[in-house]
Amino acid sequence: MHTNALGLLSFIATLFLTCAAFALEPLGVPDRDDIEYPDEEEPSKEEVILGKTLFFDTRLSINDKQSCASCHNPELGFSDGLAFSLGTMGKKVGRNTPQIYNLAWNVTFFWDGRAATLEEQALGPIEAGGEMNMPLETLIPKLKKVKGYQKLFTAAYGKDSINKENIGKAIAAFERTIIVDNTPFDRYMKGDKNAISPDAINGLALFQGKARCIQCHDGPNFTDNSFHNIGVKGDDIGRGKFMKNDRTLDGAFKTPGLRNIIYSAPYMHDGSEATLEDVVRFYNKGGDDVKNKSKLIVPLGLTEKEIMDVVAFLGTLNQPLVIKRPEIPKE
Amino acid sequence: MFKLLITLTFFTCASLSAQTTLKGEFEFNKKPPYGAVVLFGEDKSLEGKAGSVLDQKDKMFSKKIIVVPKATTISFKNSDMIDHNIFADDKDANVKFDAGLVAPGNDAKQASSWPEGTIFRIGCKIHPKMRSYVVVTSSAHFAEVEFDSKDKKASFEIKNVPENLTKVNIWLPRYEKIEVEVKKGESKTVELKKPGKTTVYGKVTLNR
Repeated sequence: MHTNALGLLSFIATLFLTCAAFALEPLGVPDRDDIEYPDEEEPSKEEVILGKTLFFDTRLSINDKQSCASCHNPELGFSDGLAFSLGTMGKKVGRNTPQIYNLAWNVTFFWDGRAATLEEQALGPIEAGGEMNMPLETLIPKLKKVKGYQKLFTAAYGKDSINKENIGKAIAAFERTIIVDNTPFDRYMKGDKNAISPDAINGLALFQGKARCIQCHDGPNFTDNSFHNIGVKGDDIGRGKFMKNDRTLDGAFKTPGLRNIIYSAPYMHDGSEATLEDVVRFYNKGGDDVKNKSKLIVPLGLTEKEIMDVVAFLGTLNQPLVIKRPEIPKE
Repeated sequence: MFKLLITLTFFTCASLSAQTTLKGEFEFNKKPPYGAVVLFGEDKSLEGKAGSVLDQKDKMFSKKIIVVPKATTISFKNSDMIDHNIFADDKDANVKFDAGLVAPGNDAKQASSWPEGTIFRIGCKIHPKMRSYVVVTSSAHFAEVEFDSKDKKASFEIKNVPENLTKVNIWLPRYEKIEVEVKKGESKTVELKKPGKTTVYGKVTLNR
């Protein structure tokens, strides 16, 4: 057997052993069979078309200025390039816009995990006063007046089906189609030893070793779906708001997945790190000195070369997705 | 003495013959859900008696679905190396509680004051991937059936069921509850559906 192939097998074996030792989910290629669709059924084509149309329609905001895609812009990694996004009334929102790749596998939503389903999450920013500021009791009659939506909803859910539940379902159905599972990293994991560079291969070893990234960014989607205070300064208590007698999660936020992460700068819940290199340097110093910082966050002692190798590895998690804009019904 | 022996033998045989076994198999058309409980709901002998223990290790619950009798407690044991915070916020089942932070080696108890037949989801506020379902039944004759997402079939068995219990209840989270009469020597097959939907998601075959 070729030496490189043996090296890859050895790496994969080490990865599994490391994950087993720490109850971590191994890195790998996301399995579409593992997606938990509502009612165990993939959404229909009509449902996805409706959801995509709603996602890109500015009529979902109170002043017709903002759609979901205004902050989750496909060309900016389904983010918006801002540290803090702007709501439809022009004011800054409280947190950085998270990217939305591979949410089909996700189990908790928003930076603080306050939504248990993607359907629930999808309605949140529409109604939020600081975001799209659109009460659903206003939106539903607004959509009912649009003949194009009457047709789209009928095709997806049957007659007279423009309601809160179906708006959430349709947007979630579209979002579940935004899948990244054919990156250079995925091809490497499937055995293509030339899919990523030697620097990135070293970065991958560091990711699950010395750099400790895998302690939170584990599994095929590089997230444990859990909450950690990683030592970012600020007074936003994040997940702590939802804990009864546990103040250790004050300042903790959900671990974001890392697929296509290269496109969605800036990073962290407050957009305080401009680049992935900045992020790795932040972790290398052990984060900032804040209260409740997770014990997982410690100085790493990465060399300059190792920092760049981890960044090189993160760059292998990319798969550009071209999202063709839907035709928004005019009337 | 001989008469007594005959009498004892008769009652022993009668008692033995009264015990039956229900065997069954779930078969789903697509991906199976998380789990199911099959039980003889006519029996309520565990009400107010010993509760249930659900353990946590390696960021997982020890069971995907667990039965807890009415008017007892369910204990959430933490055998993990990290904290957990079990909670329920299941609007469909009208169950909401927060068991609070539980350190490794400790446990949290929750009174089972929910009505018979309640099925609700629980999770961990720190580790949202953790999930299990609690089923409230006081029947002593049940099977907790866990499904593997990669396997459309799952079999189960309930032993030592008194012959006079004939009504089998099949409960799956978010599915229509099923009650079917199955007497000794009978076989039945029933379809699995969800409330308000005509789609058949699978079937369960019962042999007794």
